[in-house]
Amino acid sequence: MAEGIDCVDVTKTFGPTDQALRQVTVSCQAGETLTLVGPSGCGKTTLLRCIAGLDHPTGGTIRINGRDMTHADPQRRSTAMVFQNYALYPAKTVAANIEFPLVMGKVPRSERAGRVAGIARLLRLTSHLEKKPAQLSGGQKQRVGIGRALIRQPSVLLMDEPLSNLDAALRVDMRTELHELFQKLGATVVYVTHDQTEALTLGDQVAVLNEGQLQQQATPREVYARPANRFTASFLGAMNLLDGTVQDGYFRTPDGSPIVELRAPKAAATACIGIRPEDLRTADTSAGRPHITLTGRVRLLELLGSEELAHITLASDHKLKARLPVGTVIADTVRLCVDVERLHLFDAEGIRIDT
Amino acid sequence: MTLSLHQSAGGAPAGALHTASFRKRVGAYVLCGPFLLFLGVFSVLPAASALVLALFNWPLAGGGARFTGLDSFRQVLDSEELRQALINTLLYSLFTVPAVTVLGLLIALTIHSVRRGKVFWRTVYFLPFASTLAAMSIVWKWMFYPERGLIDSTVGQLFGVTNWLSDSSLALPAVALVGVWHQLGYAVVLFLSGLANVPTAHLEAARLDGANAWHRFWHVQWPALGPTTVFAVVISTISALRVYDTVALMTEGGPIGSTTTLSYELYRRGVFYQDISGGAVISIVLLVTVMLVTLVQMRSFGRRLSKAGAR
Repeated sequence: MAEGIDCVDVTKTFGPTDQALRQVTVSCQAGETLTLVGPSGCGKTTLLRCIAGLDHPTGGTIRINGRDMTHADPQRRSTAMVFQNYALYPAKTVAANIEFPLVMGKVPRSERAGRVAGIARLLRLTSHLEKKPAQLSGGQKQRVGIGRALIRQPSVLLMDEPLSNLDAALRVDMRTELHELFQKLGATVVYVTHDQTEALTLGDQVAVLNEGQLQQQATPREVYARPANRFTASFLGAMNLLDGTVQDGYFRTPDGSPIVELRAPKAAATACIGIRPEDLRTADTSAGRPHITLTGRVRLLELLGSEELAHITLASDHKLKARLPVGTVIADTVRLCVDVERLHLFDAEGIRIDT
Repeated sequence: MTLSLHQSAGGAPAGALHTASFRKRVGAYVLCGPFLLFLGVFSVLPAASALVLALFNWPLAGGGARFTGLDSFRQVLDSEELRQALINTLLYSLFTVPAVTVLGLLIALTIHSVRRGKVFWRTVYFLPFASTLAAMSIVWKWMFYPERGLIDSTVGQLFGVTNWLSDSSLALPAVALVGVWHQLGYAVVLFLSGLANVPTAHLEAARLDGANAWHRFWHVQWPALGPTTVFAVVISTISALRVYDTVALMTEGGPIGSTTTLSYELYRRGVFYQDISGGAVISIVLLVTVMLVTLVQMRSFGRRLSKAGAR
């Protein structure tokens, strides 16, 4: 049932100037979940619509299960889509909404009822089947939207920010539900979101997009541990990025103080160092591993629950954020350290340098 | 205002409640006042005065009005002319309303689906509605002119149907044709705005669900157009029941009364023959007819269609 998707050099322009997608190449293995993540206007929804067949790429190829589907009609692609605003048919009952693709597919009436009942059980909608969409809550509407997409047993399930219209608590619950559902179905899923948590938790693969260009595609672990460039680093996990220069084999802050020794042959004259907020510790807890130390002034402390987010300004005027256990920051100035192996380095173009 | 009463009832002492709600009420009436006055003077009063006119005999040459009670009602309601006018009016509505609605929807769907020139086509179809019907009726009268008119020299040559306005069975369809031509643009614009309000996501969802163009119309657009359809039908019916300009200028109600509608009969009796109370009775008949037909429409299909479009 599940089929793989390959997008090769997909380009989409609207009008003469608006380049929504620039030669984007992503792939999704059969049965895997690919999350497309990026800020608003990065082209993630456009790419999804191209895969669905609602938009046609200006250039490039889209293959579903190895067959070229770049310009095929949506109906021929065996894809189903869940919309951000649910897009349920308001005049039809929940049952009729879920059943609709089967009616269009001329599935015999006797078979339809059973399949609708099955989907309703799967999505816990059995007691709502006779209601109209207007009578449902946001979470229920979204489940109906998912049910309508699943009923035809599509080989590819496309989801366009399905949780963004739900309130925060419900969103977390639905995320878990979706995760379980994806595992149970074993379907190929392409999932668009601007939420980094959704992207990392739901995806077997994460593709990060910005300004119509693919920044990185990898497993969630890889994307987080080894972001390919500055954008990915800051977008996923809000990495601290400190600009500086490289002199005599040392990365230095603009005021010239050396921060870390570089052995990378690729190191350019200007560069950038990245530190995850959770990799920063207070200096006195360093455990003998090679590390660097930074001293700064605490501007603001935000309680996150089990941790505090400290906004710190370094002597070099760099600003950074650190996630520290509650109660660690007791003075105006703080000395923080980070293991050298936890540092990320980017060159002047923002590309990752492997040390 | 009832709502504000309920809201302020929560725990406030009785005296305070009274003055607060009283003040709110006065404020509301002061704000509505000018409009209520306008409505009273220009809508309710004329309608009520029609009733007064109908109950008296008004000699135009001078002298006081004489109370005649229901005499005029008896006289007019029993007359063959009124029966004929009522039938003609209903027939005219039957000729125009379905045609305007169906054609209006089809044309709107076509214009909605073209990629370029939407505004141009919308304007083209709306022009007749924006034009002065009286002037256009004269133009149409010339187009229907026997033998040499545009209609007779084209359609007449092809189908052998000529001299529409002098034929008692063709005159009403001819007038109805002009009515459709005039009303169509309004229906088109109404349906276009209705179509523009159908969420794109619904149509895209239907496409992905395997719906072809017909199914997308039937399952997505048509239910969403429910309220628009009700509005278009009711408005064009009311306008059809009141038809006057075309009749007056193209046929003067003839030949042999075959195009005399209620409005034209009202003019003929009330103005031409100066039977003011008789004319007033006809105006009441017209009002009641419009109200009854609208009521039947709302009860029969209006509610169902409006509900289907609700989201």
